[in-house]
Amino acid sequence: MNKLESRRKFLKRGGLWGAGLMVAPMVLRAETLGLGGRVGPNGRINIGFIGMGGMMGAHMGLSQQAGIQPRYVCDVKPDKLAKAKEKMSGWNYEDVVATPDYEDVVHDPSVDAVVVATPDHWHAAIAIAAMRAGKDVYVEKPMTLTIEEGKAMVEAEQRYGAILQVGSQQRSENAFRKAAEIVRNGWIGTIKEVYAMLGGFPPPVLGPEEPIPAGFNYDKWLGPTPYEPYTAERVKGSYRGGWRRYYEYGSRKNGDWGAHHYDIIQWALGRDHTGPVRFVPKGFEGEPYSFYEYADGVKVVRDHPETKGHMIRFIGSEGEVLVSRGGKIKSTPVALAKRPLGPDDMQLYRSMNHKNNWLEGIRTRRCPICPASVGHRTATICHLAALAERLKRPIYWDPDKEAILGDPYAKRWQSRPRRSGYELPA
Amino acid sequence: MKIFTCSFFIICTTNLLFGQNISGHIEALAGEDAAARLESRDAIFAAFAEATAPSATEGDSAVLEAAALVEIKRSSLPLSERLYLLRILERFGSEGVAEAVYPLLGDASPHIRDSARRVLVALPGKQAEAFLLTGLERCRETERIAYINALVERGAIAAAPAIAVYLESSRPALVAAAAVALGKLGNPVVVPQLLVARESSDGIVLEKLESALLQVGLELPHVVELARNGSNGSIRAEAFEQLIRLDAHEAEKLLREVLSDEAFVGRLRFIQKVLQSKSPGMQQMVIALLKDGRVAEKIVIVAAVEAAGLREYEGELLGLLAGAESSLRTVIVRALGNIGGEASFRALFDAFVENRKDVGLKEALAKVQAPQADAKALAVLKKGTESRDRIAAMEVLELRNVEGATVLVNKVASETADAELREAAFKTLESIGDEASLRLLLDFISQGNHSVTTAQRSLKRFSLNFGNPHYQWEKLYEPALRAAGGDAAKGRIIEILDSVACSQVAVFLGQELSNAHSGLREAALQSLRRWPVTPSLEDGGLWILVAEAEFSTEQERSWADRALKKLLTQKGSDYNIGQADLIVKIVQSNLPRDFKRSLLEVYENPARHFESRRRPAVIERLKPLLKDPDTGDIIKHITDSF
Repeated sequence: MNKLESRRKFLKRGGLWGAGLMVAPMVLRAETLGLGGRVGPNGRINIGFIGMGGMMGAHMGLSQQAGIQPRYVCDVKPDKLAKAKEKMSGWNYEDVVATPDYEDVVHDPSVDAVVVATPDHWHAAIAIAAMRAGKDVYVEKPMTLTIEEGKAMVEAEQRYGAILQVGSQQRSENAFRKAAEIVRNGWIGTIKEVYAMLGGFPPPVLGPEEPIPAGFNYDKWLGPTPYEPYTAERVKGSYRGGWRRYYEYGSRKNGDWGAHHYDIIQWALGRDHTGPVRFVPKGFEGEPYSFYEYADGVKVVRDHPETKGHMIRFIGSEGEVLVSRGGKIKSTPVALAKRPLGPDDMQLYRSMNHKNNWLEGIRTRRCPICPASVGHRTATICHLAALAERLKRPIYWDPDKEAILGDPYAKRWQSRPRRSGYELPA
Repeated sequence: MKIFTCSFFIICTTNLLFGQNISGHIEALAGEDAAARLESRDAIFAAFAEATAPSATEGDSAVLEAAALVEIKRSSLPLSERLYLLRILERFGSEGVAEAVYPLLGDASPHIRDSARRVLVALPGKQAEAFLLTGLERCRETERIAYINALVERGAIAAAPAIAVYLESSRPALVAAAAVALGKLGNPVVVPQLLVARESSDGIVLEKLESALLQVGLELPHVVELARNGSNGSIRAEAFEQLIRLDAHEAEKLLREVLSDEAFVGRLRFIQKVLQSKSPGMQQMVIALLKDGRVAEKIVIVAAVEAAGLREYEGELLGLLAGAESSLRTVIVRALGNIGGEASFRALFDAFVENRKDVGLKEALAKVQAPQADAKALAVLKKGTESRDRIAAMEVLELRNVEGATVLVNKVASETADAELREAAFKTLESIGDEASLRLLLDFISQGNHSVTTAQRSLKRFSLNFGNPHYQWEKLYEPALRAAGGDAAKGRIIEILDSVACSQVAVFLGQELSNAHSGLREAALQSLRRWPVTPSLEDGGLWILVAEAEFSTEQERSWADRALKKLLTQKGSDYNIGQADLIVKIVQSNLPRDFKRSLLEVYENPARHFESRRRPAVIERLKPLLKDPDTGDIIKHITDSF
């Protein structure tokens, strides 16, 4: 048995032992620790999990960490909820409450933090409600459905002093950070173009109305989005379609892989608090690929075939860097990918584990690697790129004023009026 | 109504292309065929998008709007399609649509009423806002909050007084909605009503009223009141932040009270606000808590000092480091890395010498601003006489990758006669080496001088770190092999070729392994035995060569058997395609029938091993093997199980 194996086994044993201890109800909230509603460095964090679809599968694993106490699982779909409850029971968390209403979770004072992994159209409302109620939030990417929701999220994060982490976890992967540092330190010269591989979803479908499954609160699933008759495909959680194929609930691939890769590109270019100025859709005046452009001419091209099998390719005046998940990074000149950083180099925020970085933030009140202000700017790119594709025309954007320019009808898409009863909380 | 009638007239009396096309699509929305309806929806969307583009001709969209409105009002369309057309107007409607949509606020269907309201939220112009205001007054009681929110979504600042009326409602939900709305609108004329409502409210309504007051803007006494007695920590901290800007003296006075009261609600947020502020006096008051405050608060203070980049408190943080408990120490080390200077470098380095495995210390040492320490390390390595000092200097240079360090370490490694120093230099190059370092190590290994084993170990680690094995093979290893004099020198390089494992290296090793007379076969075998597992499993083919060769020993065949079985059963979908290719190679090889069968019988449950999304590709590869006389039945067992 090598050292790594033994350490893993040790941790696993420790985790299970910890889980066993947690069977006893221990739901004192952080405020009892005397931190005015905040978790102490060694305090237990009571977590509510909201949206029990595929993405939450990985997040629920947090429950097996020492110092974490799951309190709720929540989903409007009864089958998902039952499975989540069963899983928690399997981990000896019999006391976890299963509820279809996220309000139960965010208004429970014993809850310190929530993980939001619903479809995109519910991210902002639940996250803001949670922050308002004094919770810290981990919210899946893209952070929002609209640009105005993003502004409200940033404001809420600031007002309520919440620790919010957007689930753009590529920021917590070594290879992406290294690629960003190579670009940021000018090791490949001035950046000219960046290629990002996003792929595509099948087009939306409109089927005949189907009966709503018993116990499923379909109206709440729709939430702020326009009313449409129920079909199973519309609400299905699937990486090859389902709700992700509809613009009503997201920005399709722009909000899916785009939310990851555009996020890294923003980071690498040092533009976390600004954005591009022009978005051009594929096909407009013969453009072979969708792209967006920053004020200094740096162009980000979607699905360019020359990504050489990588997810992102940065092309600079003196070299290039290609990067993918799984620690894959390649550079020209070749030694750059390996070159360590010195004290005079720009060293980016280092997070080795995205969720642990959030938990550490909860304990120390240190800003996590991907707060709302960053997630908002990335999501803005996702939404504007999608809008250009939908309207089949270029969108001009003022990143300082955060406003679409010269196109009042396009500007209307910065927000989407919400259905009555599903307003955005303050 | 005038505009609507006028537009309707236009559509009836002109042959505009837009109008003709859109009417057909709108009618198609009534059809049973969902796919056709979707096609029509897309066409309608595209027509509106085109007609409202900045480049469009004026009047194009009016024709479309009129056509859409006619159908929305006809109840012959399914509800979903009427709602879709309203959504289109919400996105693309012009100011003139408001008048035609207004009557729909009284529609029998709540979905239509809500959608019409949303259209009025989105439309430009004063008329839409006026209709919403009228709606607010005349609507069903159950829909009043929806109208308030609609006005807020429009940003109707002038509607604030009309909304403020509902602060007097007996319905807490309505009061709360009005308060939130007034906060968002930020019109200061409603401050008196908000203050009055605050007097008689509690719970969540009180919280929303206070939040609204802070958003709208208050005079000093009210800000002080909210900072001291606001209903929760967020309200108090927000008020305190405003207070810092309004009256620093008052803020300091309040801070003193807060810091002397450990139970004060929002205390931690006050501390953070102070450290974010530009008020050294108040910051000092907070920093004083580092002396005898609670650990939890100290952690938050240190993290906030780091976040605000307050380098002036480096000394205070250093003072805490020695006796800090583990979680506080972690935060201090990181903070010192980001805000520290020479003094921090010394303290962190001393701590590092005590515990070299501390990743946090290593990271902090790489960041801290200590140019004097860097210059000293470079000078010692260059001109020092004591090996011990020069090795310690190299350690600093390795940690900090100081400019010029790699060139210097390369020089030391190639020139020194001191074995201990040379080996330390090799080790340093594993982290900060460059291509010249790789060449240097390859030369060293090739020459077979002292420390060759250390050089092999360092080169291997360095090559794995460096990545891009194909490049390394082509530019460095292969030329080094060609230049090496004799089998012994070549063998020393071949032994570690697994550190640049790639298909080109596999081809090279294959040549040596299949040559009975090669003096490099043993070295190639050694490298093959350490070959890392990659998705393409290129070493599988090499092991088949070993097993096939007549001159292979029993021991070597046994290694091949074990290695191939391990590759075939490697878990993870990434390997499935490589495994299918390996099965093909095994079946097509000259291995004895029983050997082949024993290899292929490793899958007790193939369906479990091969992931469903990989199975089509696996079947495609295995299908041609189904008639193989030696193994066809096993192949069939595998494919049938999917």
